[in-house]
Amino acid sequence: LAHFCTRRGAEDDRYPTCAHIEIPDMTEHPAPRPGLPLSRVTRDSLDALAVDGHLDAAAWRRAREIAGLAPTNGDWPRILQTLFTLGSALLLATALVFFIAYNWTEMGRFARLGLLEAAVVLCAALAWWLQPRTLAGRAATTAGIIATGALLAFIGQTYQTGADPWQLFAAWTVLALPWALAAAWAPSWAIVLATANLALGLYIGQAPEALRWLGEYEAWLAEMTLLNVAAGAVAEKWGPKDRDGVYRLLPRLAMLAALGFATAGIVGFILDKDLDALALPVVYAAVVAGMYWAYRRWRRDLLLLSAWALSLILVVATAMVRVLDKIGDPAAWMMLIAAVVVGLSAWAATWVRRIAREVTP
Amino acid sequence: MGSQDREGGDAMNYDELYGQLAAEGYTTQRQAPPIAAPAENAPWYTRVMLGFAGWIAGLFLVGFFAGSFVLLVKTLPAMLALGLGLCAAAAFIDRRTRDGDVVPQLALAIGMAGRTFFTMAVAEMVGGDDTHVAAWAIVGLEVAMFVALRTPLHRVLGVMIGASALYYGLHRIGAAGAASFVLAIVLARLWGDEARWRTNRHVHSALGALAWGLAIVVVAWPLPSFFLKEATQATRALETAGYAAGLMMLAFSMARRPGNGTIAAVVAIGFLALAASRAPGVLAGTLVLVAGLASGRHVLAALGVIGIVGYLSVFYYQLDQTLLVKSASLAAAGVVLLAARFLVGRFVKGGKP
Repeated sequence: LAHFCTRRGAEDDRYPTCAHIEIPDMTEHPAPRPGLPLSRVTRDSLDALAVDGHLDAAAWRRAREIAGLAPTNGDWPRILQTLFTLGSALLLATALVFFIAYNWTEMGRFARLGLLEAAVVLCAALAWWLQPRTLAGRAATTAGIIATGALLAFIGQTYQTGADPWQLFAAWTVLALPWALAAAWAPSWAIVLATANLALGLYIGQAPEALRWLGEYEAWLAEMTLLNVAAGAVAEKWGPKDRDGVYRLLPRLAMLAALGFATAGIVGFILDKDLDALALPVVYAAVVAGMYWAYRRWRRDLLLLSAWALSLILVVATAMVRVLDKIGDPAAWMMLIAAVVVGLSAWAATWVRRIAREVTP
Repeated sequence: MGSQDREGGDAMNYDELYGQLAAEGYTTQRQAPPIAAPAENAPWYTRVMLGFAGWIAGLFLVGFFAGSFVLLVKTLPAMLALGLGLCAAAAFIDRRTRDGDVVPQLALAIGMAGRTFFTMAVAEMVGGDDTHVAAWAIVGLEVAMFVALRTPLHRVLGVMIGASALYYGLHRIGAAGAASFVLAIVLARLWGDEARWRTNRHVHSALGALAWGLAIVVVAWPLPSFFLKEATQATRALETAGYAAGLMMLAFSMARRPGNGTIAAVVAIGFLALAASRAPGVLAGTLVLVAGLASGRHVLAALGVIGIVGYLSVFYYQLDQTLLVKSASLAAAGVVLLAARFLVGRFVKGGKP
């Protein structure tokens, strides 16, 4: 109401003049719903207006175009260019990988090696010629990252270098870095994150004793968590910042992976009868506390907060199973846990919605 | 989006929007109606979180009923009745929801437990050789639940279960491609005709849930390698035809006044379908991606991208085609897209990146 009155009341006779209303500080509180005329056009509100009969089908369709919520006919050439460029790069690079993996006997190893090297060089030349930070250049760099992986796999397979699988992914990660740096694009960095996860994940199983300080599986979960937390922190600080719709991809992927590994660790710890891998609850507590601070206080990210809430619900349910398993009738406590999960998830949804309505300072 | 219009809707308010709509003749009102702004729906990730939590709570409820009523669970007709009773209770509770999240979550958990008992009982009753009959029973239950429920999230989950059962049932009787064909057509029809049902107060919620549920299933179903291993050429042809027809339907609905551009799009889709006929999952993802781009829903478009990348990962392990055939199909599809890119850039106004 305050928003409604102060912004509009004085110049428009459809609204009351309400200078007597004291406007509270709303920077940390949910904002009241403003009147429609001055409120921002959003997809949900447009849909609701259409359902309530304020817009017919043609007006609704055009309104979304005017507000930039759906493409106009004039936008389609650019959208199709993007779709075709990225799609062709992905399909051609994948086709190359499949072709090399087919191990065609008609084609000698040097010819295949030459083909892969030519693909890498071609991608590099295209990226340089088209500029690596344009759409076409980014498509070329993505294809180049995939071709580099195929080249490494081919070398390892053909020449029997004795390298372990983790070394393939580690080398791929290192060689993908220049491409990702050149493209400065979240999807390219997401491939680097995936290969780094594979490299570390495969390495820990055969790592020296010092790196398996918790036991094999527990150390694997803890170290994978730490890798992704570090990747998330780096992505937040130095990651791509283009407002291109995908710039949050990298920190979100990294933090979701970190939360997933940490949650798997704490669930395993709770269900373990000896409760001896004490580092897992410490890692989980640090991840949960850090994410709350980072995405509730520092930079609001409702997707990560929703995942955070789901993780807590899982942990609470698992802890209840562990505690109640020793006492009482299982049927009774299962009903209790179901009720707690229902209650907590409903609370979490309300909490996330409330944060979404907060006025950004 | 919006080269001549607003970018992202960030700066525009409803008074400005109504002014422009009136100037273009879409409405007679020059200013927005003086009503309160509608409340925003829960974001998609909150609904995903609620869906997971509802499923977990449902599993605990299954444990509760299985432990409390042992005889009910040991007698198949009784277990069937328990499942149906729980589904009915879920629908009853769901229809009484007015506001908030607790009651719909409770209904969701009860509904998931009911479906579990129903599926277990029916699968046990029909035996291992006639599992398609169990699939038809699940489809029937989900159709009834879809009509009875009100909450979008619960409906979306029901559509996913029902559509998956349809895929499975048709696969078991040797008509796996038929499900892909039918669901692709329905999906394209829904997203292509979105303006009509979004503005209909009686069906908008139900059809919105159907559109989202089908999109998830169309993208997810080509992924399981179990089904890919048994894919025949006829299955792939039917799937390809369905996805291509869906893409053409979307092209026509987006064009509004079909002309040369629409014909070019249909020809391009035809070439793409021929090239990717060995990899229909690529077309399934493309269908959802284009639907998402056309409706301006980035989450739907991202779902299509995830579907394409996920399918390519699984496609590698498909055993009924050689890697050479798969490589040729993907390369041909890539070349078609590359050619289309240059044609758009060369001949379409505004096509320069």
